[in-house]
Amino acid sequence: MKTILWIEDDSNHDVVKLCPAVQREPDWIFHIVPDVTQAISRIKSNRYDTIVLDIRIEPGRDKNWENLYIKKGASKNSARLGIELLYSMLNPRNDSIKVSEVPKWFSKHLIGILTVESLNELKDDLKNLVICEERYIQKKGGMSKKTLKNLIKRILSNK
Amino acid sequence: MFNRNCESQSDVLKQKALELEKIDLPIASYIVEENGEFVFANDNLIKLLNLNIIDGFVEDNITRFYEDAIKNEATGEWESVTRKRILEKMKHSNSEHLEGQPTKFKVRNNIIWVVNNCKEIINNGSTAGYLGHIINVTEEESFKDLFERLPAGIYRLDKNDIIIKVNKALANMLGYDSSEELIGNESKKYFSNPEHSENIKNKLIENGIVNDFQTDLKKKDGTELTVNIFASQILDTDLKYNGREGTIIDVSRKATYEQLVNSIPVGTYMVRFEGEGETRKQHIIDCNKAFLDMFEFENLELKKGIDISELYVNKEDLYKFNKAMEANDKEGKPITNYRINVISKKGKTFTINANSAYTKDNDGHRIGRAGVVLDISQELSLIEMRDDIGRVLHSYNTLLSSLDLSLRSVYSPLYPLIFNPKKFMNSEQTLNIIEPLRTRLITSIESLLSDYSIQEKEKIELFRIGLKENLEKELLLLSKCKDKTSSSEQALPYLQESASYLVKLTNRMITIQKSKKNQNKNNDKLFKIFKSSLSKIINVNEASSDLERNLCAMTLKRAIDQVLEMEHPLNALREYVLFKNRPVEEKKPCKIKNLVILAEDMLIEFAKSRNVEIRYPGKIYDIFVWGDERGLVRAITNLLHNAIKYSWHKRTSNAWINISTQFEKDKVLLILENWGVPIDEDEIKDKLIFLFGYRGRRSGDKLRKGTGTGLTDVLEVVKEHGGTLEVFSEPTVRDSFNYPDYDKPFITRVVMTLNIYK
Repeated sequence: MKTILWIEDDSNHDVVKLCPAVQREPDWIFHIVPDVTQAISRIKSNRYDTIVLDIRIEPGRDKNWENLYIKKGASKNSARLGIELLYSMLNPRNDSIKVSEVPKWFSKHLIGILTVESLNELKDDLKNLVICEERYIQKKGGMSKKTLKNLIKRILSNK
Repeated sequence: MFNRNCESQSDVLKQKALELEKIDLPIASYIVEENGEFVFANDNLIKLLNLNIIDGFVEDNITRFYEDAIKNEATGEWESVTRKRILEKMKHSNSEHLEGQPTKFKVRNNIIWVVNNCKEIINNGSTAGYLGHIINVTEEESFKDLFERLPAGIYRLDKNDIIIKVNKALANMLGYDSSEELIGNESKKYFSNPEHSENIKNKLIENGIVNDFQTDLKKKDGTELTVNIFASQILDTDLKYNGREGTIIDVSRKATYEQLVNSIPVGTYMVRFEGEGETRKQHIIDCNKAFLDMFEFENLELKKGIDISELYVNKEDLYKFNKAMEANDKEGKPITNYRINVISKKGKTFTINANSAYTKDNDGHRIGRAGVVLDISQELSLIEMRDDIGRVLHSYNTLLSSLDLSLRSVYSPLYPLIFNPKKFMNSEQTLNIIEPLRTRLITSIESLLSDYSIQEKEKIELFRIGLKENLEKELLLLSKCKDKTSSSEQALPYLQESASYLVKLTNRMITIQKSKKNQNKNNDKLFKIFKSSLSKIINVNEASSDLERNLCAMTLKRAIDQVLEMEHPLNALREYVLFKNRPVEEKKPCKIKNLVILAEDMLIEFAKSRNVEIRYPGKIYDIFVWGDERGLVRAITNLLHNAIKYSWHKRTSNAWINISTQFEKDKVLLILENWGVPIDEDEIKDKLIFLFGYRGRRSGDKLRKGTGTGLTDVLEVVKEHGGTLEVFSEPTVRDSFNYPDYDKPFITRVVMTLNIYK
């Protein structure tokens, strides 16, 4: 069995059609969380083989993340908390929120990014986080229902 | 001229006086007694000191001319400390001439500077009187006095830049008590940048004069002082550079002011007129850095006196601008916010907001003008961009309307449906409605599989082509729907995926069954298998079709709801964006009831799609408020849209919004109340909900589309009308610890307060 976490606040709506292809995989356990607070909680309590995340996510109930969200313009688009979460857990910067007890299994090799942001917008961050571009897919009109499933498969096979 | 009492005076003095009269010196000369009484004064002195002449005799006393002289009332004698000191000195001069120091004399209430060179006249070993010459040095001494008293620093350097003279003002300017502290030192010692001293010298040798050389000097305490230096060269007899002299002015304040002027982001300038009428030139005589940058000039070029007319793109525009300035000037006003196109030195055209006033001489004649200009090209670009955004948003609105019609038109092929598409359903309700179809499909698959379980040969065949295996897999997926999905929203596409797959699978089975003639050997076998269970295959096919069709209809309904949901935010965003570009709407009396009705009309379809009832429990009074109708309707529509969007749906009844009005002195309160999504206390207290782009913490539900601009816009409109906006969100249910139950609806009350128009 492979466990997969998708950090995506749109999973019940705009990108809900991406779910069935993953949910129908018999050997996959698929968890979805909508915000940073729940993502950190899940990562600390479960071990995942793949974590796919969106960049424009909400902070959830954690005050530190909420403050960062407000400081960065109180908008998912400007706050880009997905990237901030990756920095905090993979390569903390001076102004990053400290995440205590990051599990040892957590690494850049199991990360996938599915977001509306273009590669150009993310290039520098991906470079800083040492995440290769193959692990990124842009959400856009006309994408296949199997987009998420294929990304997960790619990460599982490259791990 | 002699004293009347000359006969009684000392013979020696008389003798000396006679001798002096004979010589008739061209300078003011005199002989006085020891007490200062004149024995003799020549015409030059009489004229200089305006001596008292009575009946052709001089009757005066030199003591009274000293500036500090006072008359002793008791003795009737004049006394002067200065004179007393001079006489003291004289006693030690061995009857030699004592070269006087410049001294102040008071003549007819005027102060004059004189040098009194005098000599003691001895008779029999004692002082008989004094012989003296007085030279008027007023002019020279006044200059010296001025030199010392001038607030500007004055200096003189020799050819090696050594300070040979400075006045007190300069010494004080640099923090020294006396000039002597500076004299003899190299001037460059006092320059923050010693090279500047050399630069001045070089410029002097080249041009003979240096004006307005601004530099920083070092003060005694180490701090710096910004000064303007003026210098002219001193030449020797061979006309070679022999030093320099000039003034130094403390321009620290001016420098600070200039620094300030240069740091502001608007251009300032001053122009001097030359000539009259159409040929009049307008030379720039001063401007700040922002002005230089704006027009891509360097300071030096401007000093050459460029004509400001050259900076305007169109001469006709300039003519109109000048006319407008004249018209305003006649009313005693400057011209303000005048938009005009200009061109930089490098040919960049841009638009400025010009503000200017004439400068005038004492007779009120216009001699120039000064002004402030602001580059508003970016602002204009922003306005153009807003227009573009407005157009794009408008086309989106049109697209949504078209999409709405298109989506509704594809409903009919999907009928009959097991739900009413006009009725609002949340995803949980949808899942409950669809449940019988899922159960029916599961039962039909189970029934079909039961037929294949015992016929071993066929079973192998079915497995070979994957049919049985796939049926079993779909059965498992359909049964575990709740486990596999984490929300009812996800369950629907999940089920649809299964249903769709099963429709295709059973269609294929039915096709094989229906086209016997074309079957190959393998299909022949399948034909036999399927024939025996055709009715069950058809059952699965029908059940999966039903499920798929209803789920498609539900997806369609969701899409239509979303279109309706997006329509208002998009419209409101367009209004908000373009609102800034529109000319200010004229305010007028607006009936509050009409404003509410207009807002409701706009959202009635959306309210229906959400099963939200808009109620008026009390009377909406026929009250007028003074305002911009468009803005107020937009504000109320925003509030109403929020109320509809965030209203809480009970299973048993519709959601509702109560709209009412109340009075409070001269104000009217428009109140919108509903049961809805909670707003956290801090979101209200910290005004987060009013931040542009902020979406409520508990409103992240994707079914509630929004831009996060609604309340920001409402607040702006309300403030513009001198009103207030308050939001309250109270829990309806609390737990045993009195903690709000966030899973239950909150009562949200929004109160818009406006001034009543009387």
